[in-house]
Amino acid sequence: METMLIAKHRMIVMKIYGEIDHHAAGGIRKELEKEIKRTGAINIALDFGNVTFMDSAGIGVIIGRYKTVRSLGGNIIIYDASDQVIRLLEMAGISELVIISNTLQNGIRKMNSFKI
Amino acid sequence: MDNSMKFEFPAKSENERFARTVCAAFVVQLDPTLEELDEIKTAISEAVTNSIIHGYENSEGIIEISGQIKDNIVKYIIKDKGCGIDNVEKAMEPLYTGKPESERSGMGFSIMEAFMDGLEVESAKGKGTTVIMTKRISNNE
Ligand SMILES: Nc1ncnc2c1ncn2[C@@H]1O[C@H](COP(=O)(O)OP(=O)(O)O)[C@@H](O)[C@H]1O
Ligand SMILES: [Mg+2]
Repeated sequence: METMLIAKHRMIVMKIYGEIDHHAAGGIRKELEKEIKRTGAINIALDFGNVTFMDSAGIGVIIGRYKTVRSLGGNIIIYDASDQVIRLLEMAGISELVIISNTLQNGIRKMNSFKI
Repeated sequence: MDNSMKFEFPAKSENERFARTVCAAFVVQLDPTLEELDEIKTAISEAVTNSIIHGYENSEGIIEISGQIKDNIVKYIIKDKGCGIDNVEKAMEPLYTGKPESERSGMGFSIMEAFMDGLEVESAKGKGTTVIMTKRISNNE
């Protein structure tokens, strides 16, 4: 995974590679929590373009970070996710909590339209 | 078509991927769709992860998986000798988790149920857990 900060949007963008299961989930959680503390960001954008598999451990990580950013007044964007991932997000009801979009730009646009 | 397989491995999280990959490879002979393969991988991943974190509570143990193919139906049996489940019916309720503090979503059994055609759980406290899942492969010819 790679993370970067978009200061203008107080947003951490994390690019995740490969398979999100229980084995990978802990590292993703730690990195996101660390970066939020370090940068003072309140929003998280997750680039799912290179995620080839996800199970309920990924749902746990997303719900956990959702709680973190909500307590800060921020949002989560998930973009460029596969059909398999989107189906799981919908099953878990996460698609109602987070912003799901095809690109980061569209996700940010949706996020800003919420705030008006 | 008539076939079978069996393998076992230590209950380490590094092996979650190995287990679901082997199970997916086993069913390839039935020519499943990519969606069916994803469903099987996800269901196996849920069962194996449960054995690791709940069954053996992240300590040592062995997980055994066997598979059978008969006509166009695949069956997987995932077995651990861990702590077992006190109340299986309750454990299988959507969103129920015995470990709310560790970011579990309680969706494992619901996913297994949704993605496979058959799900049976045999378990008792102290006796380990066996999860049996079956799926009919569509054979898109
Ligand atoms: N192999 C197992 N051994 C012991 N307990 C289990 C096992 N599988 C499931 N359980 C119990 O059933 C509960 C529900 O499982 P699941 O639906 O996968 O949700 P989660 O794993 O998110 O808690 C678990 O929290 C656990 O208490
Ligand atoms: Mg589970």
